Amino acid sequence: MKKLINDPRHYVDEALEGLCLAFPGYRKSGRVIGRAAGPQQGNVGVVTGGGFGHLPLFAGYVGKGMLGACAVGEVFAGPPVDVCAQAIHAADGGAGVVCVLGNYGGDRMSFAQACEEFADEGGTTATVIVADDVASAPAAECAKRRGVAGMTFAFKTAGAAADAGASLDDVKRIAKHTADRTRSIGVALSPCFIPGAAQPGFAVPDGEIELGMGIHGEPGIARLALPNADDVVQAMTERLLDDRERQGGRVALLVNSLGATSLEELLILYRATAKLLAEADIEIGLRYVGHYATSMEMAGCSLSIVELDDEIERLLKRPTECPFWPR
Amino acid sequence: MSEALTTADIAAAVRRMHACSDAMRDDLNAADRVLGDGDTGMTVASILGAWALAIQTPSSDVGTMLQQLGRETRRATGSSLGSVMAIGLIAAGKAVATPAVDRSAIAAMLDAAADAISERSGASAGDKTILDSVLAVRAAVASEANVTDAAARSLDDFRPREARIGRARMYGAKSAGHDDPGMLAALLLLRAAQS
Repeated sequence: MKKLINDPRHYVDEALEGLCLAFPGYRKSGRVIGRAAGPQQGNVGVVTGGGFGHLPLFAGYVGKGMLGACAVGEVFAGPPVDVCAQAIHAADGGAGVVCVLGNYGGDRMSFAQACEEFADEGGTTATVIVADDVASAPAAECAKRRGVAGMTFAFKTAGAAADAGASLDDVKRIAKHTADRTRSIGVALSPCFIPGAAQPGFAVPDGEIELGMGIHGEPGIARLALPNADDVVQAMTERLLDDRERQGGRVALLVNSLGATSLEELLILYRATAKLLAEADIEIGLRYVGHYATSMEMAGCSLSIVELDDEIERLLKRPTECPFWPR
Repeated sequence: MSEALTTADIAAAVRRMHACSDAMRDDLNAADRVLGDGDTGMTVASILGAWALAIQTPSSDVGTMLQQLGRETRRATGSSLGSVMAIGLIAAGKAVATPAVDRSAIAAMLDAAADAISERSGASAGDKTILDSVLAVRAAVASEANVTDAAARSLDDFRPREARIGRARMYGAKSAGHDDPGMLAALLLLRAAQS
């Protein structure tokens, strides 16, 4: 696999250093990305953390109006407890910190430990787990689902609420409310390589796609002969809509590239998705198309929907200085 | 193990494990490529590197030493396996109540480790995780059997079963017939410690 990198051991740090040089709103301290301006004093901080290789997820969503700080691990491996604790401190403006995390065992355990230590020091935290990937477990076991691209919606609403001065309980409630109303599904066409690794972590045979594959190449629910884009969207949208309790309604739609899939393809997928949602009498209130949660050069896409209400819509629209969220 | 466990025993075991780090890394990466993303070996190697450094500073007693190794584990990695190992070591260390760590004290440490791992990770006995290795070792300590044999037997017993938690769960029936990388790590670490 050809990659434009230097020593694979410096992959994460060099990318994060570049992030901070290219966008002056970020500040790197060890493996924590925080805001250059520091936490907003008197406001709740929102933090997350996770493995690397998914930019703009997770660290890219730090910025006024979104996350206060992010703990960064290694490629596809979560951050250690100390880094999680540093991220919590970096986001602390004295009004408590809400951790919004994807549903991954390592991240949950590390942040739980870091929150406990922060509490011992007199700090206050709350944690919300996002589990939006409908392919990773049936609705009856939705707590087992993984967190994927739909996490960004909870980052945005929680961050916007915190920016507006909401209390810890309120920011937590909004993050949970958003997470509960978010559903995603992904499809992978070709794998990604961890820098320095000779082999990809998984393979998708030529001419096939894997429906429901996770952002680290976790197995999906079906391997299909590669149909055309409209059929892929049909298969994905069916899963998303089958999982909803409601009919019709108004959603925000995210059509996300896993890395290698082009904007042209995303727009073809958006076109098909918009048509199917219209047929299901679902109005698209807000739309997002591009790279939001990736797996380096993995080819594929994910579709995420969040059921809008006035509160979520207002918070999604609230301006943020994060360079990876549209104005 | 008839005499008491000492900090010197633990330091010697860590040195032996660290000496086997490269071989273990390759075996564990290979196992994790089947059910995960192929980095369990890297995780364990970085933990062993951190332990090897930590034992250069002497500890006053076994409980403090295990907690220190647990904290080093946490610092070395944020992976689920690392978190589980850290939780187990810190709980085991805290459970050491007496200066002389005899068989019954070790059993109590393993109980504390198993309880903490289960509580924090959500894993239960039978889910095909490193918790099942800990429980097998705990039973071997109680019956004065060889702990490495017990870990090996438990790996064999669980191989045909399906993983019920974590990333390997997604493989469903495909996980049957494959070693859980965490259980394999437990066996390889014990084997290296006794080499």
